[in-house]
Amino acid sequence: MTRFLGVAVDPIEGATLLNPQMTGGRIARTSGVSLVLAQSAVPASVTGTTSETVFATIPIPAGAMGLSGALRVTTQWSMTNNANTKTGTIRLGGTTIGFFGNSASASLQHQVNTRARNSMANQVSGAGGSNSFAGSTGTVVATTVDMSAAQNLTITGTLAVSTDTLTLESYTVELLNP
Amino acid sequence: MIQIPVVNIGAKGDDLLLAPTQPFPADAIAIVCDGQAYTVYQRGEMVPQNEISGS
Repeated sequence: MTRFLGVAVDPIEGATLLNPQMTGGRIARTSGVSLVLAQSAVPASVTGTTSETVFATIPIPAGAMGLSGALRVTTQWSMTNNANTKTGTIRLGGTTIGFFGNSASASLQHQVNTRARNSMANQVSGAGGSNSFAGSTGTVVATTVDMSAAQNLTITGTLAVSTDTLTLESYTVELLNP
Repeated sequence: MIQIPVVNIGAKGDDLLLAPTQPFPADAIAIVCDGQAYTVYQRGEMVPQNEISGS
């Protein structure tokens, strides 16, 4: 099961996340802590199509990611172990912030970090690839998603060959503000 | 087990981006998309292992 938090935006204090399960509703500002926005281990699979398919959609409240905030998206995948490419993609507001294209593997752990560049509308993420922490010939990815507005983060999967299967086994989406 | 139709949320002219027409239920235990619909298995139901295992 996935549970989402609400948000209140104060013009001086900025965004404050609300925990609906707490008495009084309000928790401390997110500064200095990692806040789990969504987490699930319900497997979501695609097979029978080569169209990109949404596995999960996580709403990011307006203003929740601050000027130097970050989102950390950790995903675990399983897939048909053959030579065909399977692609996992993380999108923020429709813009790709991370992906992998993988073959000849049965499973994969992947992490995408996107960090704000002292701006509500400029972020930087790592180059795409199956190994989230290895060196890459790809350049970093600069994006311009307006985080002062509510955005959706989506996790999708795409098959090169429709008879294969790609499964998002689990994921954790964290919000980090300094 | 319920089925949720897919809808294309891709930008016009782009490749298809399939998404469910409604949120997955809170008691989902496994989800499989075949390009036409998401089949959602719910708590208490048996999930065919070949539906979710990629290897």
